[in-house]
Amino acid sequence: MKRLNTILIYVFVILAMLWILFPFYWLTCISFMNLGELAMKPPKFIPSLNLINYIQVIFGGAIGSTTSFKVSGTGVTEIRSILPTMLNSVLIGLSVAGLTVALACPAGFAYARFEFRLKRASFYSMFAVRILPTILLVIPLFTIFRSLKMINTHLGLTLAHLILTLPFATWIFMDYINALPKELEEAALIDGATYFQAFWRIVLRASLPGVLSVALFAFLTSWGEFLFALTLTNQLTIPPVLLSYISSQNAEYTQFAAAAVLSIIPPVVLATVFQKYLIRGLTGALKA
Amino acid sequence: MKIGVLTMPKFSQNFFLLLCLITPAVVFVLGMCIFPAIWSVFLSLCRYDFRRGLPVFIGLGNYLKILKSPTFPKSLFVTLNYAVFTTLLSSLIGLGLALLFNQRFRGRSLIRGLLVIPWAVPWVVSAFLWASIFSSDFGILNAILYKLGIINDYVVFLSKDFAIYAVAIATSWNLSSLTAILCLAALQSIPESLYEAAAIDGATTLEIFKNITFPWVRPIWSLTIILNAFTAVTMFDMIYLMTAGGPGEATLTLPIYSFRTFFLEMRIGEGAAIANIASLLGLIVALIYFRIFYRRIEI
Repeated sequence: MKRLNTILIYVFVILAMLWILFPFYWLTCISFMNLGELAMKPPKFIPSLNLINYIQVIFGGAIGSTTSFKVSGTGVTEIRSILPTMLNSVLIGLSVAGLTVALACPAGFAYARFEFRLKRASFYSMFAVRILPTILLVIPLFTIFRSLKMINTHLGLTLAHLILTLPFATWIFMDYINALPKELEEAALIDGATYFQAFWRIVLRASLPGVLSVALFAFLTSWGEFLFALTLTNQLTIPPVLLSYISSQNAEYTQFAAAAVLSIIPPVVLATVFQKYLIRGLTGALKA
Repeated sequence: MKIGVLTMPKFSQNFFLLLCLITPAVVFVLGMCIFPAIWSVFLSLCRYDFRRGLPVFIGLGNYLKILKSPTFPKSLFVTLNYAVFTTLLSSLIGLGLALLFNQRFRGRSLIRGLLVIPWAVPWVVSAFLWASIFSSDFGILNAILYKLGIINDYVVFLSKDFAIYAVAIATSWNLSSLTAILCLAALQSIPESLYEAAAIDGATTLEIFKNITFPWVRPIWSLTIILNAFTAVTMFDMIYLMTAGGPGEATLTLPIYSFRTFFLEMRIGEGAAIANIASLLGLIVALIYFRIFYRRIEI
């Protein structure tokens, strides 16, 4: 009976791992194929290690010069290198993370430690707005950004992403401060520090893991955000650029797969390495 | 004003500090959201005059037009269908994964680490991952079934009848990950002594699950159900990227419908009106959320 139990557990663990990892297997396979191999019925389940798609995606260049020559209306399609886009994504992700920390951490601290009028009202209204579907914000933001000439700017997209990150980040950080003993600041206050000093030197230092989880959460949100990037910019960050590979005339699936593999490396690595902080932040805030 | 146990003497100075801490975030979020939200309500009450580039107030005309169009009830049904299926699937799989990964087995901590991966993958990539599984041209699902001799020719999975479920499965892959992470965290916090006591009482596995494990994980699980429902109701990325609302109007949920009307057909007022109706659905889910969890949030 116990043995059967153990076997069942392992069977289910294998199924669970398949559910989580199998989609990546096929994406990786496609990234090594050319269009001819992709169209085979049935395909090769273990493709040869052909890095041409990665080279094209990283360095740019003409598609199809080696394997499948495709001629479109304008001739051979030039593929853009994904590196400048990656750089944009990193820059915007970092600015979003930085600004989220700068705005959400003080607010989260104040919500955790201060009593004031409109505390609940302002806290809940911040969430109420986050409850609006992104599509509802896109339409007015698009018209507003257009009149402010902020379409297709780093600043515009960064600000748009901040709407998505701030409320939840505030919540995460508030929860973190709540878990810290009040005696920390009180001791500093008694020693004659001003409240600002107490916050800056004592609380912020003690809550560095909280800051890290806020920053990570913000970076990951910005990295993957699609709708704002699609509508408010002209393919500034990775998600809309990925879309442009498959929606272009030649539907470069194999190059797309290579670009997609490259684009998930940073978030997957960050999330796996720092998952302790992420999970602590997420569970803490949601359990509150 | 009280801070901690110390009552600060200089009220004005603290008030200033408070302002510095809190205003930037709150003002930013409210400014960037409330103004646009009001603006979109206004837009939905207008006809856009492209010649002069100005919205012209026309009252409820856009809403009447949408409610009368045959697409709207279809779209509403598709949205609900998708949302219900996604919510059920992701919440059940998520809970299942959490319960499974709470068992003892070799390599547990390593395998648990995998849970965070689907969550970290951007929607664009998850959409393509699953599109490449279901594709009728190069889908691995077709390839496997073909190789095994179950089908004679490739099947169109993203068809009129099945596409919405395919997208729902894909969405659930992503959502079940966060559900599992949160539920697993709750499961791990169950004190060992409870299980020991149950073992002494000679409780069966089922009894332990019913009386200890499930009640312990239920609050956080119901929270994730609501979160998943909310994500599903307002989902744009996954559906747009996998099927763009097609084939035909088979996966045209309200957010996609709104996007199509506004950005592709350039019917500004109607697009805004659909977006407003769509956010009503999200609002209903959110209200349920606060109704259930209002007391749990201590701020």
